Amino acid sequence: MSPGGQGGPLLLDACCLINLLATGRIEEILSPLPYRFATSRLIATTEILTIVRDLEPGAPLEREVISPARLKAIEDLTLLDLVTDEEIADFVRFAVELDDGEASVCASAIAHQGAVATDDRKALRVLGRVAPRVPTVQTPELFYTWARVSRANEHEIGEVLRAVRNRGQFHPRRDAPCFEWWDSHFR
Amino acid sequence: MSENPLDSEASRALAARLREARESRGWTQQQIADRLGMARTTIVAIEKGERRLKPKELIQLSSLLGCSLSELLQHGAPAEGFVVQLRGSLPTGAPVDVELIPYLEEFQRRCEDYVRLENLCRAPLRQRFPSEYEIQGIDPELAAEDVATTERNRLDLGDGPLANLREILEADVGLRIFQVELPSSVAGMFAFAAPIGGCIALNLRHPAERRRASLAHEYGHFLTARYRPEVTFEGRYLRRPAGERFAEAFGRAFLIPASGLRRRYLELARERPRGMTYGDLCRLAHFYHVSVEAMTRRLEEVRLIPLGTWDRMRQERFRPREAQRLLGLESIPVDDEPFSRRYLALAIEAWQSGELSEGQLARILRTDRVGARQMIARLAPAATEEGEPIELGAPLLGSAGR
Repeated sequence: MSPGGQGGPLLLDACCLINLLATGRIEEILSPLPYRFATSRLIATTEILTIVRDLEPGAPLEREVISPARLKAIEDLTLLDLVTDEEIADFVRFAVELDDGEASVCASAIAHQGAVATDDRKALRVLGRVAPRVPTVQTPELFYTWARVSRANEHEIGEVLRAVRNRGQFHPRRDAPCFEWWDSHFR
Repeated sequence: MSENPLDSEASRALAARLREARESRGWTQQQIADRLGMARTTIVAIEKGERRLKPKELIQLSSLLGCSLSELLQHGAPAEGFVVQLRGSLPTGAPVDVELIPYLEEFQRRCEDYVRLENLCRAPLRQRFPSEYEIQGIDPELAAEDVATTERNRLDLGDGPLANLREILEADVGLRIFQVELPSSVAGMFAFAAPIGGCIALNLRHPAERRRASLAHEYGHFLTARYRPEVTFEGRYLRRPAGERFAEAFGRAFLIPASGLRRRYLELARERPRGMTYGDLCRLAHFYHVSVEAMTRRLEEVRLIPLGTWDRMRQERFRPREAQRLLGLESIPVDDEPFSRRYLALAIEAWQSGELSEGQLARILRTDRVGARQMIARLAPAATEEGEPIELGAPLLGSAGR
């Protein structure tokens, strides 16, 4: 199953990937979700992905780097390469407007008839214009689905969302799907 | 999908970028051709923009050159001669030359990023450059006093301290000023290239007071020889050339104008019949945001205290930092930001309006994505607890004001 029903994987852009990693339990969160997850090998190997280190309250914020090996070890996450000429041409076209990681995810989503998980306003705009048939998912929606499918209790949901906010420094936009649900856990 | 970007006009800029990337790595066209299994003439044609690149070839080239594809495709043509000019200003054959090249390239990239942000936000930096001051044949120290006074008047700065020199030179003159970690021997750099304009890099490894002095020094170069780029080394000269003496004296005179200093000194003298104290000196330095050494030397220069006072203080092992701490003078706000406030505001604005993606924002702020998110949280907090988010690019008067 995939968000758009095309049958392809849900490709995680770096921003969503960081948010999932920030929970410290990405495997547990991905596992019950009804999608096949993937990201581009380019993101896994060339992007510097960090999260805020878990420190005592009030301590200055420090960031820790997520190693490519950590990403490769996630069982439910496939790393995709850009293979066909068409895929590579799409990558180049997207790279005119987005950064390499974002462009590679968009190109792979087209090639594999998948969807893209991203919170990035520009990536969503470019994707909507260039490949309107590619479905998109944003972080709050992803966690909302996890909460529903896993039947997590409110305490557990609150803990996970706070980790995304604190360790991923993530704040969703007000117009993001499921923003109200997300925001209700911080009131 | 839209048309192939490798067919468009932008391919000329791409060709120039590829050539620049190859040259900065010191590779010949033949070496690139051999590695890619192409003829040298093909590389020549690619770099002239006469041969259309295939997407696969472009990826191979960018990977070989260690450049991201988006950087190659999104930046316009490089600022002509920026690095070449700066390299030309270095002492010939000096080993420091090779060590410095990555810093010069990074300086150029930051300047180009700044222009890109301005284009995205449609907010070009207004350049209000004065005509170059002619100082040939004039005693450098005398010329420096004169130019410093004229510039202070032109910019309507009075003769008091300049707490926010960086912002003044950016907003009122139109210079782009960065703080970068440079080798310790380098105090700063200055370059002028079309279409970027005048750009200054200061060494973030140096203390804040020294950086302010370096900024005023580089501004002195800009005012008198803006087409002659400069990398300012500490202690490079046994005998300083006139241009260097001018810049050094201009820095002192611009930061501590003689008229204001005399007035304050006289006020102190009236209060202190037995003369100025160490404490007064420390307070005066703090008031002008300069080091105690710089203030003492300036007082010597304008003949308010005897020449050699600073040397005597050193012999006596006077400890300025400790003295300032005793006087509670430690609270000068230090500007350690690599980028100016305007640069940061434009970057956040471009991200908020969807002109930059998160990855691009991180790259432009020289950080990772979470670092960029922290920056956003600091400069434009999201609407989690404090109401609506502040859209930095929203027009103040709404559509009615336009």
